[in-house]
Amino acid sequence: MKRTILASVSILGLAMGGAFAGPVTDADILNDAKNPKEVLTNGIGLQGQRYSILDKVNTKNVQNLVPAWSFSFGGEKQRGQEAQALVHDGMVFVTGSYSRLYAMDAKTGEKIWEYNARLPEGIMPCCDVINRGPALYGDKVYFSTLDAQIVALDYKTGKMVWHKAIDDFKAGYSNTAAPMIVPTKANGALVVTGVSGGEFGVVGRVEARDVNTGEIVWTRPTLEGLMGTYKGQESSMTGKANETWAGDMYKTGGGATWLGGTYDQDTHTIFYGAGNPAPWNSWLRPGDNKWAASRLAIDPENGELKWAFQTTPHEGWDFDGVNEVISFDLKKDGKTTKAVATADRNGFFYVLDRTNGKFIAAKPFVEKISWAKEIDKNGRPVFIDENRPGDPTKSEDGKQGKTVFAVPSFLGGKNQMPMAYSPQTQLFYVPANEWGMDIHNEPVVYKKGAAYLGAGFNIKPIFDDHIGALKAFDPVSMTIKWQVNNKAPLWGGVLTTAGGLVFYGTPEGYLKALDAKTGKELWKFNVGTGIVAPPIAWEQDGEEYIGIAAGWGGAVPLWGGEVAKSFKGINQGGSYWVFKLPPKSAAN
Amino acid sequence: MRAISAFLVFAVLGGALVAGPTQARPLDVVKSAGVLRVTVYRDYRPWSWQEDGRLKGIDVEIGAALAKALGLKVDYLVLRPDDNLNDDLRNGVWRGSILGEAPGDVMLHVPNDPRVEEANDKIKLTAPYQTEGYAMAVDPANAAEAQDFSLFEREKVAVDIGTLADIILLSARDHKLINNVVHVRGEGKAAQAYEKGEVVAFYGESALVEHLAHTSTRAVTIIHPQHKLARTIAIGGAVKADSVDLGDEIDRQMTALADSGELKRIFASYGVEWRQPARDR
Repeated sequence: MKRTILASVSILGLAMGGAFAGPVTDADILNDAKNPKEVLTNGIGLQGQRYSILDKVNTKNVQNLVPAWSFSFGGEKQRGQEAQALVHDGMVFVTGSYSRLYAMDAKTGEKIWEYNARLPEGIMPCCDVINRGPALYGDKVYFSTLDAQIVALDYKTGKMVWHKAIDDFKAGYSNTAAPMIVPTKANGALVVTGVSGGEFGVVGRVEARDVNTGEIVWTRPTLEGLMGTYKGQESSMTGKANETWAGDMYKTGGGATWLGGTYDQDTHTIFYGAGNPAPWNSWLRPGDNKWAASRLAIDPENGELKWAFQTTPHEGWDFDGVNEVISFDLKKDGKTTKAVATADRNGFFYVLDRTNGKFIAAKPFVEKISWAKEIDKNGRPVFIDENRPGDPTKSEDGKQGKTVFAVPSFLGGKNQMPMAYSPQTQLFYVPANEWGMDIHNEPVVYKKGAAYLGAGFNIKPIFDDHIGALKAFDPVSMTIKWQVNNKAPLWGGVLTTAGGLVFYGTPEGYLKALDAKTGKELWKFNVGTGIVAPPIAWEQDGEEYIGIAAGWGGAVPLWGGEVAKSFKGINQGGSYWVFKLPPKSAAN
Repeated sequence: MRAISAFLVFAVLGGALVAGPTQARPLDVVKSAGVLRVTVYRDYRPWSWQEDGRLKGIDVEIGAALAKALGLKVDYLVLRPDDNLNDDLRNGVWRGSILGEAPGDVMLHVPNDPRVEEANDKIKLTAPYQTEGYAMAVDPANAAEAQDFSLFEREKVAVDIGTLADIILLSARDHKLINNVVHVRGEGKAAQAYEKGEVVAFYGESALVEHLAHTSTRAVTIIHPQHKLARTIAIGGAVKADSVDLGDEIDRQMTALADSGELKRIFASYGVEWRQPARDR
């Protein structure tokens, strides 16, 4: 029976003109970056480079780009479309806010099916009701939901195959990241997720599940002292208890893995970032607090930690360490190094050796960083002690700790929006933001009927005319080659292509194409609402299509103050936009 | 991430989350609906929590008493605490949750502090009904040494994670107690750790500590150690800013509940001393 269905489907696929119908295999996943006809992974290849080898749309003809189709997510649920879409079997798959998933005809945008997760009462999504996209494997499409479930659907019909709770939404857990599929020798392909959660005591971990059943194969907690598991048994402890944490604080010490990971086939390694340590006030948790605010390198076979690198030891400014880790070949001094790069919330751009986590270099990618002078030769920040928010219990009136102006702000030099790497130009394209914050640790914030210790923030732009800045960062010279400023904060990701282009969206609603070498703007189109999602490119019937989710929201509009002036009046939305060249230009 | 976005203090309100204009629910609208919708916190012993499938607690009973006095049925919005009080007031009083749950007509357990009203122009505070502070339940043999927290440089103390009581313990004596602070999650767990002998004391908001201590199987002394963060606050309610006559009526009925001894009786039934706040703030 199953065989018959598959057969008939592959005929359908052929009829649609693709040789790619049918189940997604390990080889398909691993080859994603090199196959322009499909987009099977978040990051356009598991390494996360977001580089398309397509060059049909290029610096010479991009000015002719026109809409091919647009699709509305419908309903009253607009806000916050942060998802990267996938393309397979003649269909585009994209998630919408409020845990919705859509399958559309890749050529026409016609809806094939829609899945709406039934969200229970009492969920408390942290940073808006967003979702960052699905994953594809076999005959299934996977995505995570605001009530911390992972759901596997039949990708052709949208019918549920299995769903599992990643954790208890009632305990404050949620999930918004795109799951990742990683092939392994020991256990076949695994679906890998992290956890996100708002309430105190949520602790980060990475976990891998069987793609067919959703059963957990391994788990790896991010914090030192906590035990991992393999097939239901304890495996090994992450680090050593109490080496960099005092008391029992590591048991509830944060390090949430809320943004998702990448994978490198060369070294067979999963890279995952861990969020800031808890509680917020760093004076209450002496020590480096590993591996919060860190990047972790994990063996996909068994969940063992290969290495970890902490970007912000003893973190005290809300510099999450979750930003994506992108594998690339660093060609420097006639030598090629298997490297990774990451642009941290803390404002520094890091290059590490991906075989062992060894520090290679770190330089600022935003201006006026105030919390650290530099990153030393061992990869450790040289703190500027007077710019750490003060200990409130040391203040004279016990009311609030010393206020400091910290750059970057807690939303980071770069936040969730992924950067891209072009092997063609050998540059990273970093969607950065220039902003700082007045910050103090504050003993009296009312919480649940009681006074509560937290931190007070007042987020401020640094420059009069812009917060956002798309920066082309050279990982060899560790310098910025060009930048394009944007009035509002950038919150969508980047795509770069072999056509010599960089695509990215702005809160003002423009999808833009820049010359990857110079940053010169070559094309823009306004989609009618803010863009906070990363673009993709794929080949459809011999033409190059560019796709982007549109819909203003996410964490930025939750903030007021001076920053809000930069995006005043932007309307919410919920749609998918696709562009291509008009027929005569396509012939160029 | 959220634990942090969390601490955004007064910046958020009135931001993009606002779905529409506040729906006024003045007294006559509430009365004609026949139901007073009361917002109480979830999992907040002894104020409002689920036990054996039933919602119980001091705030739950005060809400029922207010509804009865107004000649109305009572309905509860059991609120999951968000990142800070401003968010709670948005979800519980003036707008409702981002997922569309209707807010309450009145929310209980709101600090009766003018700064709360200053920071939230869409709500109005109603009369305070309790003075709340911090208390410690300690083994009677150790009570003297616990007064200045010095006991916990060598002995363990349990506290609910993420509360101000937790912060006080982590901050006290120049952060020297950190190694001996045992974090539990959920009200009641601290008392269990004490009864099992895992700690020599537990610390928290006065009502919780008194409530747990009065049923403790292990002997206990209640003390109130001094710390500059351990201040007392008055607890009251809040209504929508444009439901002024409802707020006034709640103030009158709360006074009547105090005068009739009903408040004292409700508190006592949970083992908590009623500490009447000053009537004028």
